Amino acid sequence: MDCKEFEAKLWAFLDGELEEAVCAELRAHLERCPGCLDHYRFEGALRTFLRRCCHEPVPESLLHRLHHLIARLED
Amino acid sequence: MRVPVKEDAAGVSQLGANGAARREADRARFEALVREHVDALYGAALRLTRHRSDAEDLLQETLLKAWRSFHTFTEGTNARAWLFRILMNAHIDRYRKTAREPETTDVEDVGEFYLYSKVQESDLLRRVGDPEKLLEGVMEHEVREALESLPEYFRSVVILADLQGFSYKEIADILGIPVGTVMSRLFRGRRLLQRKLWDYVRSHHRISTAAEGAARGL
Repeated sequence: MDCKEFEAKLWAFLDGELEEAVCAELRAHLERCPGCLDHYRFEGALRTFLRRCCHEPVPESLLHRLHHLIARLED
Repeated sequence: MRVPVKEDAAGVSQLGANGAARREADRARFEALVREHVDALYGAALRLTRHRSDAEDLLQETLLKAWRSFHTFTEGTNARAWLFRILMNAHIDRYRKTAREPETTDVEDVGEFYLYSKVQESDLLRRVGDPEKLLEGVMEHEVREALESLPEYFRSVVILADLQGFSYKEIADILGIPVGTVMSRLFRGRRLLQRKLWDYVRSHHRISTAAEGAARGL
């Protein structure tokens, strides 16, 4: 597997969408190629960062309202 | 044959009591389910609607609809995907009624791994050290804005994949579109998102770039 093939599969790899045999090829390429390893880490870090930035727990007031909404639900 | 009134009344109240107990059990199960997934649903609703009050309305509507079809939900199946399908359908209904954004948005596409290519070109990664540090300069609200700026049908897929971690197949089921469409929207959505993020990364690192230029005597 060369870098071009690696990049073509990188997102699907990070998404956990590839078969184990293909993942093994990608991991083997990562061990040999520091450039692709940097890229892989970057895309992974970006995903984590995106999730962290968008994490907003439900405000207490809304939880309270939802609890009342559920208590009043009819059949 | 006429049933004596007394027995009849007793029978009805017996049935009523069973019904009420069952209803309370359903309600408790439903509330437990909601409690487990409410943060995820709310997070997605915020990014979908872009406004706190709309997100709260969407969440309430989702729960009302979920309760109405709760009897069709089978215990042990994918509850999260079931709730997100209801959320997405409710959102699409609301969105179509109020949409100002055209259904097909003509957005210029950019190359694959836009952010990483730009970071490489600018030599930023080598200077900053690691990707975490490079991204830290970007504010949380900017990342949210970047995501919210994506056209609706790219944004939905990016939210479901990158924030919620659903598989391509699950997203296809949730949105009622083919897996191939999920992938093409997701990859294009990511490219657009990376282009937006690069604008923020660049603006935040401008000072350090100038400082380094000065240090080198450039």
